[in-house]
Amino acid sequence: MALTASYDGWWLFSACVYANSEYEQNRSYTKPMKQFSTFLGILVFLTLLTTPSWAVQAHGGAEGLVSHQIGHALFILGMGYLLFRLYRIQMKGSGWFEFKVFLWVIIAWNLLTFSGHWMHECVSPGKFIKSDGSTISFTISSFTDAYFYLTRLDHLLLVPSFAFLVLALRKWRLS
Amino acid sequence: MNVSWAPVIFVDISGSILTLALAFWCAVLSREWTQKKPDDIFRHYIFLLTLAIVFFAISRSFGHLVKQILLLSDLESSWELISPFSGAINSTSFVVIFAFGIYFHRFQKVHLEIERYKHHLEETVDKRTAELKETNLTLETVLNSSIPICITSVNFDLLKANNAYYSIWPLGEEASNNLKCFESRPGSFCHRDQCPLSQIVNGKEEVVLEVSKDTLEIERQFIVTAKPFRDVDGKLVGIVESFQDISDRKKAEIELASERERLAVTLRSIGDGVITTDISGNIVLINKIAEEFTGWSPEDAVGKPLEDVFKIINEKTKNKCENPATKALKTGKIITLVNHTALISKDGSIRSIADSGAPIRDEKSEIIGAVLVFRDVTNQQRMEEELLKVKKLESVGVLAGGIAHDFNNILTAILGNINLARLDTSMKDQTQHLLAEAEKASLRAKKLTQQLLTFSKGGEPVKKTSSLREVIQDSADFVLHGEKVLCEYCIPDDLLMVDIDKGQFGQVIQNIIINAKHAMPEGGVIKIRCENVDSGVAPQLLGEKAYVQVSISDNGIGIPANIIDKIFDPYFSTKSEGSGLGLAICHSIIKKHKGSLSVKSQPGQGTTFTIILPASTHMKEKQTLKPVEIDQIAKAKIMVMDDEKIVRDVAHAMLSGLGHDVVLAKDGAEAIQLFKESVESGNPIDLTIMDLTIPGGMGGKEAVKQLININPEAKVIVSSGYSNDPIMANCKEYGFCASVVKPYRSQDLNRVIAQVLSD
Repeated sequence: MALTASYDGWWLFSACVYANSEYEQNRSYTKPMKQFSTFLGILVFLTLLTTPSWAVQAHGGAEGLVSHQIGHALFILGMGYLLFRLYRIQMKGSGWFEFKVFLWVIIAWNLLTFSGHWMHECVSPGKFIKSDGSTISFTISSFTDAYFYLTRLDHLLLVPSFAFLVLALRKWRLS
Repeated sequence: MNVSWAPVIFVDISGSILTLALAFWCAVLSREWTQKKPDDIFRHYIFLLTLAIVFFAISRSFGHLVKQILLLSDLESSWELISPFSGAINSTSFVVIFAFGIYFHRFQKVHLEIERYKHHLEETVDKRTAELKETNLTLETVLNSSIPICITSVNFDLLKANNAYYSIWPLGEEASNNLKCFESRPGSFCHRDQCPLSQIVNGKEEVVLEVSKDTLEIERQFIVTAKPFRDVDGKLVGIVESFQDISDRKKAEIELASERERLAVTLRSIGDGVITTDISGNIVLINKIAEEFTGWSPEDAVGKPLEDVFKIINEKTKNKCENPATKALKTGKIITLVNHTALISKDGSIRSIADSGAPIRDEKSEIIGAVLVFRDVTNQQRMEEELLKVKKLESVGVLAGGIAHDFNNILTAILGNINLARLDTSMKDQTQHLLAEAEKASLRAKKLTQQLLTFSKGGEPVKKTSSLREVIQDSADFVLHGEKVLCEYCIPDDLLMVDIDKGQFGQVIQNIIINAKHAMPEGGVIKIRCENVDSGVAPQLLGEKAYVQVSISDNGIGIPANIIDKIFDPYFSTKSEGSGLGLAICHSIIKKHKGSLSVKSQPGQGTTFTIILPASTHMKEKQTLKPVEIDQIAKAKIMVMDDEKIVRDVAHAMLSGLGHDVVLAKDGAEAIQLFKESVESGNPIDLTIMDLTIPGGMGGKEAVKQLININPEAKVIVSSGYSNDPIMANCKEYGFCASVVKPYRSQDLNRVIAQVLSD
């Protein structure tokens, strides 16, 4: 399933590039929106209906992690590009500061979780102390362990980021 | 070092819950923000981006919550089954978010471009709107500054109208949106085929009509111009109508027509002939008098050249005259006709006219025609000729009067001396005969002198209220006695009395009868007709209401037309033996009687003289004094006052011969002195004979008053050659007892003295 999801993600990327090129060709203001909405709908539909039978090649093991990490990387790239454009065009005004903060924090969250996913592969399963099958504590014997433990508290970044997004939207709505 | 895993679990669960809550809030806020400006593509982008992030947040938080629940429930195997789906969804959401992220620039560019276009569009729209508003304002201003205009739909609903329209046909309070045209502006053509709206609906491109419309105050007249009102596709959607109010113009036209009518009536009623022409000299207008004078009716005359209708000639030369209207057109000045211009009417009759031509100018002083005004002066000319004739007679009269006065004095001496000489019985018969002839010639000279005096100032008639019948019959019968000419009288019994000098009037009758007799050498009938007439028959005479007309007609040879105007001139005669004074004296006498004498004659058919005299206001004839017996005269002391010595001497001889004592005085002053002395001496003068006029001295008129002052019983006789002087005629009014005309004979003097002394 992870393989299928990975395949879908690349397909979606190609679709986005195609849509972008279509936009460049058509130079229409309404057409890209429609095309993009169409692609988005198809994408969601296909994602939800992914079945192994669609895959010609078997995907498993670390490929799922890699696909997810690529997702994070794309998330970071997307938000980073967005942030870059905002600074480039010197977007100012009510709510934009909060939006930028949101972007910064969400990028930070992505970096944290991205690194957390890799760390998880490196952490020895024995460092998870279990009781009745449930993890009750974690053994920190190195900086990597400590960092891993910290990545597990990613909501401490995610929640503030959404809070800033709420602030930004509120200001826009009120402006 | 072991650290508890519980914080991880707690943060994961609580963070997921908070993230879920915040995610939903974000979705709501972004939706609200987008809906505030639905056409803003950038907001839609942010909305979609937010949705993608929310989707991610929901999927992740939901996955984590499920994970924690399953792990806490020792269902790790279940989580192992679900986790790939959760991860895949998360991964997918990352990609979606990435896609949105990298599209920010595009969306933002599109947004900015749209905004720019929008701004440009808004600017253009604003500009166009401003221009449209300005145009609208201009159109509204123009529309409202013009005459009433409205747009009516093809269903006859009033769509739009300007202020001028509403000021005439205001919208009523109950006016609805679909107010019909015939409700708004009812008029004479509503619901009829002539309705301009109907005509446009039926396909006409323009209709111009003069209609009357009801307004708030009165019915007014309009020129309605209707044209189709089409949409951009050319479809007829209504009718544009403009209403030009011509009520004032109509009123002005009526007033102008009235003024024209008044002018026409004035021109028709004016006493002078009026003809107007255009610049080409063609007749434009001819009034009633001009129509009568020219004999041309307006229908025939209008449009014709003036020369065809208004033909004028010189009365004397008979040459054609230049038309004054034509001359006025050429010169631009007022032209007056020369004297003796005659108009030849259509039927060939000729009448004397006086006229003037003047150019007609427009408001720019440009000549646009000419007006000719003329009047009949035939009667006026006749009057002037009469006046000239009278003046000529008066001039001759003055001369004659002077001569006659001196002649009378001379004749008094001649006649008196002859008369005295004939008393000498010792003369031979031959000598007696010669003296008798001399006396006869002197009497003829006296008669001639009397005739001359008729013209002089002293020839005023001594009028008495008389009946014409006796004077006319006596005079006519006297002249026609023994002739082959018969006289027929037609004299009504109720003929009014006249104030005449019988002697002078008889002279008139005699002269006219003599002329009539001469006009009928083979004999004939002279008809004398008298009648009472009113002033209408004698318009040349003024001041009297009633007149008596005497017509003396013969059927003789008549008088040629070329001399008929001259027959009343002194010394004009066609007869070798005539003096040329007969008719001139008649004319003078009648004039002095305030009457008129005229003649009409047709050669070969006869002549009629007409005398018109004013009727007397007295009803009875004045009686004359009866003569007395001359033999009964007593001898008296008589004073003779005269400036001429020869007259004094003759008078002295005559009176002495009659047995009277004679005292002589050369003027009034001496006479008064002698009279005083006689009174003072106790031998007063019984009778005084005084000359009426003493050149350079006191005449009888003044002296008699003083004599009466001395002796109120004084008897004074006035003596003068001016036999017709009023003092002579009415001597008693001036203090005299009687009058004696010079030259006088001894018997004339004796008769008067006897008359006076017998009183």
